[in-house]
Amino acid sequence: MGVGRTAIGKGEIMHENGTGNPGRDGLETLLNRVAEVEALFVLVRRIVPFVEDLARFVHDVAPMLRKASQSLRESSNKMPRAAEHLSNVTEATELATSEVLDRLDRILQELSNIDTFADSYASFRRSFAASCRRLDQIAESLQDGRMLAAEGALAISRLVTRLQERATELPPPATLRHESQTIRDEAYEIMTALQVQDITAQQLMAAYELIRSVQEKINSLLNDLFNVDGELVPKRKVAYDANATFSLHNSGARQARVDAVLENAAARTAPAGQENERAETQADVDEILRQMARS
Amino acid sequence: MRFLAVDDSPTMLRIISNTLQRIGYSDVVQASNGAEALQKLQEQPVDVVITDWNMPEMDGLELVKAMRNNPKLKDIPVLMVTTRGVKEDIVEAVKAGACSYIVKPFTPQVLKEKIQQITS
Repeated sequence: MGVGRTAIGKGEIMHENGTGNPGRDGLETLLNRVAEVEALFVLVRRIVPFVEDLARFVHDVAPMLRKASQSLRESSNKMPRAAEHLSNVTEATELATSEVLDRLDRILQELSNIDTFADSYASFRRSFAASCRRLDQIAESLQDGRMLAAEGALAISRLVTRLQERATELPPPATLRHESQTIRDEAYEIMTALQVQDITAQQLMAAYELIRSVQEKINSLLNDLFNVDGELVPKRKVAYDANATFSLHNSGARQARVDAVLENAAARTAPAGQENERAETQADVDEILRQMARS
Repeated sequence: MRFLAVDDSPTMLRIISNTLQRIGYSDVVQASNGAEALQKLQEQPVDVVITDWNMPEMDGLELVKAMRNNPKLKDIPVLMVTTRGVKEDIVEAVKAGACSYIVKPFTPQVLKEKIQQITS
């Protein structure tokens, strides 16, 4: 208060009010200042709840923002993996399609060979039918005496020679069997390539699950921030291997690696069902696991 | 020789059945998961089980374990056919009781060799 009084100096009061009564002017000024301070307190009293609300809001929103930031970061990290799975599907489908098309080319080639054989066979059948008709004529001529036996024998011999020549133009049955076997082999190779469907289905499921989990996070975020419920992508009841890969040309190498592990395990594993050797088998397999962990 | 092919993919079931037919085995029963396979095994005698790993309800690994713990089924050879090709998975399958292991995509030749191995 001492400081306040000192602040209300004589010269200042005179200047402000100019009443010429320094005591009265000073008191008025003092009362004015008190009123101002009081008004300030009223204002502060009114503002404080807003400030408190603001503080509470910031306090409530901060974890949401942190969660939002984390969700967005996680979601953002998942999208490249989903994209990678989809890219793998495209690559696998392309490989399998190319394999199937190659096999189909070979099948079509084999089928055109078979068409050629069919043409030869049809031509032979025509010759055979003509020869049969000619034989009937010879038989009739021999019967009614219009042809001598020697003439008939010569005519028959010529017909047989002609049929034998035509028969040599036909492909041997072994060739036909070979052609059909080739077609069968190619068809089975196509079936092998169609395993791509199982593998890409698993890659697509992995992408689907990633996208679903991202959508779940975004929905939860929207619900926290705006109390909005979005429609969720349904969870599908399927099992999948997210690392499934398709490569027909590398399948031999992959299987060889599997066989190497199996051989190692087989050397140490007793036949299944022999209860007295089970513990030993288990220990051996565990040893393999330990060796793997060391390597 | 009767086979039980177990896979949740209808495409794979057809491919396995057709491949078995190609290599000389035409008696094939099918199941779409481990639980269904166990049911089929109770209903009829089976000589070899060829199973996938990743399947809903009951996967291939659980199927092998269940078979090995069942006195009636423990001696049936099981061949695991799966996309999982890492060492740990192979060892886990062998540890559970799988007799052999094939990685997808497989060729008829590999399937034939493995069947001969586990049935000889």
